[in-house]
Amino acid sequence: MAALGLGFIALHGRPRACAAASSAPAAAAAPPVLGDVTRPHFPILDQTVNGCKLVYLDNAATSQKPVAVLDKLKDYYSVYNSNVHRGIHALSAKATEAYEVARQKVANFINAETYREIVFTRNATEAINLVAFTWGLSTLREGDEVILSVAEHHSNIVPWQIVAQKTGASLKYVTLTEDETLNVEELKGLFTKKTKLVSLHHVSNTLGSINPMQDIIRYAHDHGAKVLVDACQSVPHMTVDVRGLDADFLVFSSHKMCGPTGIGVLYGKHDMLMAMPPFLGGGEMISDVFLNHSTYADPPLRFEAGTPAIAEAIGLGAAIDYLSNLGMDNIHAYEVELSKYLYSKLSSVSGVRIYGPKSGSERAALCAFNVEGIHPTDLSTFLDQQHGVAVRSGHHCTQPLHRHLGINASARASLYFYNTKREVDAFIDALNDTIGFFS
Amino acid sequence: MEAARHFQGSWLCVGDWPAPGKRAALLRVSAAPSPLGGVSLSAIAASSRSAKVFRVNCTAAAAAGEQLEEEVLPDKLREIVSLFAAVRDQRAAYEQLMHYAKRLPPLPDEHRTDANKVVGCVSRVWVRAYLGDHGKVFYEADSDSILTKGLAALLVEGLSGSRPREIVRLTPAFFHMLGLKQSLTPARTSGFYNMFRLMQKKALEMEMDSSAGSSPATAAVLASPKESDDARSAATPAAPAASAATRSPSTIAESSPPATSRSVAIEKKLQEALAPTVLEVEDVSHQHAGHAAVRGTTGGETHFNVKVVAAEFEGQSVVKRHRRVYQLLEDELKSGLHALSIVAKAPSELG
Repeated sequence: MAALGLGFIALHGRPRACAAASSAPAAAAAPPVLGDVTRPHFPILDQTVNGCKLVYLDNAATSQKPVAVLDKLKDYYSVYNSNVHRGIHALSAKATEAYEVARQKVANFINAETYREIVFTRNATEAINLVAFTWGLSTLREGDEVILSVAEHHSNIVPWQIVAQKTGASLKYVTLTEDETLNVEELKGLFTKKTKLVSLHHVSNTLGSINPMQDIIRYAHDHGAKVLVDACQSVPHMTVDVRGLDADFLVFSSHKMCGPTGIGVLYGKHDMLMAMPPFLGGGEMISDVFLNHSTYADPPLRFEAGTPAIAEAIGLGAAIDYLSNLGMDNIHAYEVELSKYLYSKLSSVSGVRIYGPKSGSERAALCAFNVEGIHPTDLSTFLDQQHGVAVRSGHHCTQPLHRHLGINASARASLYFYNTKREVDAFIDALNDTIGFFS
Repeated sequence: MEAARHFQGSWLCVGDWPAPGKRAALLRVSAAPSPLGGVSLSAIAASSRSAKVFRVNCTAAAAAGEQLEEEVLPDKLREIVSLFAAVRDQRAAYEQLMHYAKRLPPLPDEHRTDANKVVGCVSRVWVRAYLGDHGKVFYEADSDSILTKGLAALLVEGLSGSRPREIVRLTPAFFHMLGLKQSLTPARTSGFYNMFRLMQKKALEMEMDSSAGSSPATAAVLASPKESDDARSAATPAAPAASAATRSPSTIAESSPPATSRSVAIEKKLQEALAPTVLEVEDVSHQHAGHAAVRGTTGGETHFNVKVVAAEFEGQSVVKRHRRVYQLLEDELKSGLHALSIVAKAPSELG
């Protein structure tokens, strides 16, 4: 390259080829997979970004919403929007019914015993905070112990830090095996008479590992501790049965499972919720209000102060209908395929280091990775700008995990049932082009 | 007036460069003896008539936009900007940035300190400044992201070898002319902005360290930079991307030209009596020229804004603090000082 002085080089104009364009559609003979069947339901995926077809691989951050959910949201606001629970008139009755039907759908979806065990929150983060600031503050005493892991999402660390500081309880962190999965043996060794709670991820948003929650919960219960399951990355992708797990608390967010943002779920065993003091105070969560005291409603309403996210709850209900229609087992099976394909293609790119367990054990359909010598932000910038491929770069809200792995940041591609192997191919082609450019 | 015409092309614009057609916000000029050195703009500030002309010029200059910027860019930066602006292809722009990045020598570990770290970047970036021959500033930088390193290299090559005042008076507007904005995410654009601001801040620090004999007031002002509270300009909030660490070059509060007797006297008295940690005395007489009470008083110096932070005020009521200040400035008040606007705080009350 000729130097033009001041560091300028004579550049050869190279026509840019989008990776997505070059990976042609599969031959017509192949049976349509879930990704092809569902694609038309998600018009947002049908767009070009920076001149290339969008390849959306950031589903662990948030999922796209099918037309069925969008229609339901519009329907609510166009036809029967009204405040819930107290109204007598027709619209209010309809809204209340739709809202409570959504709650029942959530209960059915995770096999809760009763709708009374489903508390609507703003998101999973708020749900964890709810448990920390009600159950946590009223139960934990000085010297009590809470077990977390180094791989937790910040939302499952920070609330406990705050509550531990307030109560004098202490936090213990399980680390990883050499395989980069949760060290279950180490976890078992951390239990003492003082252990009151174990709060862990079901599926890791960075490692892609899946924890044996049923075993962990059984062990914890044998040692007198409760368990909170962070199911943000599991509920959207597989059947999760809270009674099968015997979880005491379980949290997840709507927006990661084709539902709208602004609504999440706290599942809590009925007797646990009954014993918890209120979180936020105000309308809806009361029974009677006097000047000098108030009495509180039973759960779940006890923990739902103020006008709820009515439309969003109904939207979540619609998302659950949509997913149930596809079948969670079908979704899971398809994603197992995708996961293996993604892992094998990605690991065959030289210089790539994928975090978490090898593909032998089951992995979620996501890969956080680094390419030697290239900063993940440069990588994702180029993938986006030159190929329309959307991945995430940064610490994915798992700074302690990144520190534990000895890195600052990573890139992450995460799939959902509307992605296809073709898109994985496009991603890999784009990645190869990116690596070539930066080398 | 002479100075105003001469410096018509070079404004110190504080905060964001305004959109075309919009008045520049918070235009402030440091008065001599200013750490920027050599620029005798104090003469303009002192007189109300020039101040008005000053303001009109600034509005016209804002509309002139890019033409104005070309005049004030250091030579090397101007060349880099025009070369980049000519690059059509986005991929080529990245290649160019990478080439710059590769030219930049790595920064030794001892300079990768928190003081040198750019806040608000998606990747880690360090910038170091040092004074070279003839009081010119030179930079070194590094980053773990190559595109960011390229941006840093661009700034390093463009700004190194310039004088502090040239660097400080720049606005980030030249970034638009690079044509890179659409190639970088908003997070990266704000990172570039923060890098640039840090380099300006360091240039200013170099100048402060090397200049001797700044008046106590000026030094005190610069020791605690804040958004100026000049009533006559509509203040715009600092760009969301700019972190506190990089705000100082653009928030130099105006100090009254020490050349005038009254402001010197006020400063001296307050300094001696209160030993303040912050003392800002601002002559705003021109704002009130024409008031009935002032008509007939010659030479301005009738209205002052005073901000003083002193330990003595701890625990005292606002009324008591103001009384103290009035008491100290009794002579002034008797001899033509018409009004004082006082902000008196204790050190613990600073935000």
